[in-house]
Amino acid sequence: MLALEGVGVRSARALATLDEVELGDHVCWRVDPGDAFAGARSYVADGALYGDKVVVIGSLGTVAVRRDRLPTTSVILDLPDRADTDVMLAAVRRETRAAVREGFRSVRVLAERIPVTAPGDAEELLARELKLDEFAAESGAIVVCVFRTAQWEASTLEHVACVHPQETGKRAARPAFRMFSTGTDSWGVDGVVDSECATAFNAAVRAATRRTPTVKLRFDAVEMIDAAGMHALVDAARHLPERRIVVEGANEIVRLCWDLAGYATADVPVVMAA
Amino acid sequence: MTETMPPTPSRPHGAPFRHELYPYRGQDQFLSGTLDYIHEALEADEAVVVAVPEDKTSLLRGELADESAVTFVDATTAGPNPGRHIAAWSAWMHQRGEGGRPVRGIGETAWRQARSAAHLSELRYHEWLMNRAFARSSTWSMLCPYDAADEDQDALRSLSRCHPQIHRDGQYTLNEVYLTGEEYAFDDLDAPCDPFQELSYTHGDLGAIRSKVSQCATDAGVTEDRLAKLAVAVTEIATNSIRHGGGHGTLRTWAQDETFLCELRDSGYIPDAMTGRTRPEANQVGGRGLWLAHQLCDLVEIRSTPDQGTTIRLHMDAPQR
Repeated sequence: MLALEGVGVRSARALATLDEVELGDHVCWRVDPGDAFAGARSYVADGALYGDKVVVIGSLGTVAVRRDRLPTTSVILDLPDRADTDVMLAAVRRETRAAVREGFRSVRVLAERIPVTAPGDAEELLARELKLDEFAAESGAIVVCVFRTAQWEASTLEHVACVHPQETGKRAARPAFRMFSTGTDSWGVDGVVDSECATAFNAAVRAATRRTPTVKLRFDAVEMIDAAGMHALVDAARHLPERRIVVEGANEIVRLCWDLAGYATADVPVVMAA
Repeated sequence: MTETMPPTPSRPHGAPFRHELYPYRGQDQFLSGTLDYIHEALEADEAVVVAVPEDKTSLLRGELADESAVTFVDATTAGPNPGRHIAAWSAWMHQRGEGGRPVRGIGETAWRQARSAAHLSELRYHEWLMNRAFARSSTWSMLCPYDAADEDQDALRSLSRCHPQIHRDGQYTLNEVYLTGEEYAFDDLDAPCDPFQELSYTHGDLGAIRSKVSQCATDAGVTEDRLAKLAVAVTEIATNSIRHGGGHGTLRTWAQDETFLCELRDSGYIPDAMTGRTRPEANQVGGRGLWLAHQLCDLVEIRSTPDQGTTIRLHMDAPQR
């Protein structure tokens, strides 16, 4: 693990530009082809400024590094299967360990994401992003995920954005909620979970419960959750056997609504803890 | 012409829910009528739940020292919104009626403490809905004492329409003016006060709705805890508009006296008058939106017809600063 000095408590933020990234950030960057290059160039160049090793995956960052011969220590990962997050993560972790040995402050990853899952398979896509988010949280690396809007369905991108704690670009104020790693099998949720984002929330929580029977959700930053959001949470807990979700830090209105909605019973595998 | 029925200490199996209005004058008449009703129940080994104003509770407690079959409940715990009362009564009656034991309820509404004409109107509607809510409860019955000392015949007539039986002199009579039809004759909604703010909404606008409501409610003096409740309630009703009410609706907000109101209109229709008035089960998929609105708001008015769509008004207390 890198030296994590300067990594504070993770929280959801909208970034005006990539200049504002901090250690441990996992940023969603929805780009239009015309306005992407300058941002990528600046992000890569900042690697030298901050003493970060730059790891580039995909053409956008590659062009930025090669064309402008930026004065930074960069590694371009030309992976055989960029869609395979596990392969990508293994490579990035190797570079991270090397960066520690080489005395860098951190690694800053610029990963261009390509649509690989079948339309509607949001859960799989979100599971991959959650792995990346866990990596950023654990290692203190900066991970910027680039999504070319022309290549993605808008609704899929809305889902994907929900599992990035940070976002930059024109629509950085959305979505309504964000879910991100706050430790081993622990996920923080920020914002509002309502009927408009309940499907994304359901997919995100399902993805989080895939690998472990008990998942903790920190609700400290959840403003409110409506009936559709609560149903999405319960449904996610029930979709696999023997799963349990413990919600911690919920505010008074969330706990009141949970009770009123009839979910505060032993046969619901979601516990609304204090 | 009314038909007089004898007292029925024990109710025949399968008898329909009996819901009697008991107009009384003075404490003595209150006590004699309610005590007769309670003693009939006790003789038949029935349980009794009593939810009456505090002064009446004291009177009855004085007469029923240690009667374990009689339970006094504080009706105010259900809150001011009559939309919560059916669920509250259902819970009380279920608790006391374990094992199929017949239960009698005595419920007196503090009519003179009604907070507004809208509140009074919803209280009356609640009384009418009780007949529908408990229609299949063959082991439950209810007596509703009503203080008729003020000789307000209009008020008594309005309330009579909501009760299928009238209780007098220890007997009950079938009530000719009871509204037996499927449709309830609602009072018209008052026109919104000026100035009001209006916002059209559709999918993607829930955040904008909450923002507008929060801003206007704050200006009107709604307290922080109520703002949070209102945000949930408004989200639920707007979601219903978007999902079931034609995909869009209109929000209007205004303040009136010490109340902040949100009105949401759409082209949908709510066919079941009981929607949102019964506590949801954990395994229930939907049907929580109106329930939450009723539980979170100080008053909810619902008007819904196939021709004119649905109008829902959410009331929140807004103490004047």
